[in-house]
Amino acid sequence: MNANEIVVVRPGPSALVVDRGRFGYLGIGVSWCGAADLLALSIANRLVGNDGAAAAVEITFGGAAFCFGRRTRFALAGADCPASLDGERIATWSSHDAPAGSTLEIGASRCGVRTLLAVRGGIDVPQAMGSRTTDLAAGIGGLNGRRLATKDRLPVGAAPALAYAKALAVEPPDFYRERGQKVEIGMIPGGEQASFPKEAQAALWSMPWRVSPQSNRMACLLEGAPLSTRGVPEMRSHAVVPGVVQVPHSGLPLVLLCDAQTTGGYPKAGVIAEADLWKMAQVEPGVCVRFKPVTIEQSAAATRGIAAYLAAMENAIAAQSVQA
Amino acid sequence: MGDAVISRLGQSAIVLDAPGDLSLEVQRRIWALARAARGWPHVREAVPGMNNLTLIFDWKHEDAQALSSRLREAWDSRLSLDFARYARSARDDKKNPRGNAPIEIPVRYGGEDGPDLALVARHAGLSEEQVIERHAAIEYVVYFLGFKPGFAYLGGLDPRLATPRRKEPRARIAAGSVGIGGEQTGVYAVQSPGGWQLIGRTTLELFNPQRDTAALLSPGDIVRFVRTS
Repeated sequence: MNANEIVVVRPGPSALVVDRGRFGYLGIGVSWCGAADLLALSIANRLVGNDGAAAAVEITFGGAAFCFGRRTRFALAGADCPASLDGERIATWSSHDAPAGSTLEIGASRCGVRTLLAVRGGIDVPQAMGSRTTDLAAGIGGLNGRRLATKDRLPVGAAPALAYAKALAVEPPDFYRERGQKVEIGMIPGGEQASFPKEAQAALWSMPWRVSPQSNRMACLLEGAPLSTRGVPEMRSHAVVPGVVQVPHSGLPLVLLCDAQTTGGYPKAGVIAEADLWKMAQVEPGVCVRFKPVTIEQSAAATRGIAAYLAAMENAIAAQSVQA
Repeated sequence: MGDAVISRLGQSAIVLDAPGDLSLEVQRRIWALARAARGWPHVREAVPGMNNLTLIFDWKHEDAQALSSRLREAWDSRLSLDFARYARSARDDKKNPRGNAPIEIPVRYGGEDGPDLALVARHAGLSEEQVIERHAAIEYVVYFLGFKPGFAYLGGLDPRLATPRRKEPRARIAAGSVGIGGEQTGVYAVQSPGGWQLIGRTTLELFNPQRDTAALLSPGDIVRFVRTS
């Protein structure tokens, strides 16, 4: 095997091809999908010299292995997993050059849920409706619209024209080092929250919410003391997007993620701050989150902070680059 | 009719809620507004719901206040007067002009294709034959699409046929299955789990990403079910 492709040796519990998402089709019921952790996708892509929109592989809970057909620059970002290349331990959040025929082993994740594997040139599956991302509901994108399976072959695109940088590394986000067993998540209050009973509004912010093992790419389901939505008016069906926090009849809030259905009818408590949404997708079952109220301005500032961080990273990469 | 309520939802969305009772007339204005808003700068998505409209916008380049004002002006100017024109151009997009003729969906009712037909009939106090006749007699209106790819929310079900959803949803419902869930009827456009009572199945592809227009149905379309068995 020496084609420019990578072979799935073992996909782990769930792995699929993702990019930033498929936009413009919410009106016909097609979700954005894309990587559940867009920050990790952006970083992994930059570490290998791609632009942020290239497609990568999202691995859930680790436990996956891949074999490289050609010498390939790759990087891992997101959930912390022990990783090795032909048996030699390698660091995540850094780029490496895999020799032709080498095997990347990714162990079970120790912190976080989803690890992004980016390769220089990107995963070059055909676009469907303007994106390479897998949409399991529509059955499009990625590899035939499905999760990856053992022996699948993923084509790798031509290397980008960008100057060839030497191997790079970044510090992982503080989230992975400092979080302990409680994670703070910013939420912009909104939707019907103001019509929730006062005690329910208070409890939403003060109570710890434990991530349920039933969570998936559609929604992060939370467990805790149920909130009363007594008196909240019946909702007409309306559009929903990733980040919206719904409180269904069970009283247990849920946070919609990338694969969320496009319309819904449950009362809403607010929307997760854009800069924190990736964290919701990385909190593993059993770990608790607390919601912290943020204003639209604070949320915008945090998002700009991430954009500035990524821009600085690009500059650093350009500074380290040499012409190919 | 009072003023529409426009509210911000998070950083990147604004929502227009039409006042008053649910109506098709209001929904026509929602369709026209959605169509117009898709052409505005920095609007990434315009998604109609049931008498409401959500705009997703690029907040780095568009001020929510300005966008809300524009939305309110457009709503107040009663774009729906021009709806006929919008509907025509929507059809031209599909390169399949069909005027206002209903879209016919051929359905095999009952049997393996509609395992819950008997239950719906019992619930309605009708024969299976009568359920089929009533279901196929109506011209339904596509209010909006959502939930799953290509899934259309249809208005117009005969209230007599309304049947509660199944207590235990099915894990896998085949694409093309025609069902009744509460006071709604519709077609599962892609294979998915679901709790509706299944009364038949169509071979028509309601969602096909290979087509120019992936979703067969658009808001404003008129739909008729035609019995093939």
